[in-house]
Amino acid sequence: MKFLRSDLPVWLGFIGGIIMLAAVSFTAKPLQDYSKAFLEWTVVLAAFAMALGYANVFRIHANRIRFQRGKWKLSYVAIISMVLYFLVGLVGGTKSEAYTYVFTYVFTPLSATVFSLNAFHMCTACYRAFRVRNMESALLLIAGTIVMLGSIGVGTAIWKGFAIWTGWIMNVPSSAGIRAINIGAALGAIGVGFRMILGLERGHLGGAE
Amino acid sequence: MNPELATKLQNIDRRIIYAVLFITLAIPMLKPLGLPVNITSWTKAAYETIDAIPSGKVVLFTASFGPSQAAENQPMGIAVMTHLIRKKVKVVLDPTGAEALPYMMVYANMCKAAGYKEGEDYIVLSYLAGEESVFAAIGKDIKSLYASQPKSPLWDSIKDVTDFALMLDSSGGPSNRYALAHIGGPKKVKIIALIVGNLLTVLQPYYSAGQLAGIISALSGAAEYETLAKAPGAALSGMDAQSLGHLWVIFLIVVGNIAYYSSKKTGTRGGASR
Repeated sequence: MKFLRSDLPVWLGFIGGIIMLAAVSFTAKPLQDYSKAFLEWTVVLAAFAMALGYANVFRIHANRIRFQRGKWKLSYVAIISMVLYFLVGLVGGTKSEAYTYVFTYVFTPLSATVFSLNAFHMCTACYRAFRVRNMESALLLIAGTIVMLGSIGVGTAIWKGFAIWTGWIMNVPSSAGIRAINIGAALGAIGVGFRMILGLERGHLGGAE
Repeated sequence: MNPELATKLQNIDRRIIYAVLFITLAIPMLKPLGLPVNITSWTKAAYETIDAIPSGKVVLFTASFGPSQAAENQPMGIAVMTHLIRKKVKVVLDPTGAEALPYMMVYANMCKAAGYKEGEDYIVLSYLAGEESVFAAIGKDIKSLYASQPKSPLWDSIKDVTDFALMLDSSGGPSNRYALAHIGGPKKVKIIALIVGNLLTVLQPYYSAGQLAGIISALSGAAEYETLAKAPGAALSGMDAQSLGHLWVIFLIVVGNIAYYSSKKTGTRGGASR
């Protein structure tokens, strides 16, 4: 049992990882063919993962209705919408007018409404949080205000320097900071990748390292 | 400043803040003000790259945004598609995000309305799950990945991802970096990123390094593109609202800080707005 739960996935990860890694550096046809096949299998696996996610959401809401937990009546809405939209896609196809209609006139306004509320929350958050309490917050405030004004035409109409300073902030300090973060994250990813290939990192198998 | 006023200004009721924001956003939506638009170097670079594509060439347009990002991504997509159609460039539309297909269908309908023939001038590929794996597989062998795609003159003319004159990737997530890592870098395909505003900082270094041919960022980027392409649309009218919204936020910040310093001097402490 241990072999199936732990050793086999580690070995599969090792073989798959080595092939994918080697395919980046070597052009041998078998290597390229295997790496291509692995990538296409991943796409198939991802599709199964989506189906699993769908089934899981369905199960959670079905149980909520069954045991009348929390706001269980809303679970009816979730299940009915899921099933109906699934059927619309299944019968008419995802490029059909019906599918696009539901997406455009039901899902999009609902989703966009929730997201657009962020503008209101951000407005009060800026008002509350952007107080110059020390040197760092002063720098943040000045940079934030310049970029905000430099990004809109009105700001440049007030003073052309806003656009120039926005460009400088974005191209120099901001780029430098992001590059440092990206390089650090990439080195970290390489390290984690090697640990996973070698079986030293086992968190993804559901157990401790 | 009067200490009482300073305390009041630090505690403006959030309903007042919301109401004023709502008004500043609603008025320009109903009656556009025609405020000026700043053209950034990255949007200009995107426009010039697309403008330089000869008629009849094929562009790959991937998208992985959903309704929550559509307010930013969709106007820029429409502006770019208007430009591509005007230049008679062929388009392969590829939804790489689960929620992106209906937006691709909007672009497909634009093509159809402009007299493009499906299969000859444009096609819409199917959505495939897998995010980064999909980009990696596109870079490796796009024909094998979309093996079930029906035969058509346009699809048959594509042998490899390098056959595309340009790749456009519209997203609110990390897919631009997947495109860079698996297609832009190894295959030397030019990429333009169409992104939500908060990704600009992340992608700026790639543009500065020449890895991205251009960036169209947020509603402001879409408005800039509409201005450059002389195709006014939703972004330009939306930009008026955004500009006024920004000014209101800046005004609040300034007022909050003046009140904060006044109360600090007089020794009264203001709280946060409820």
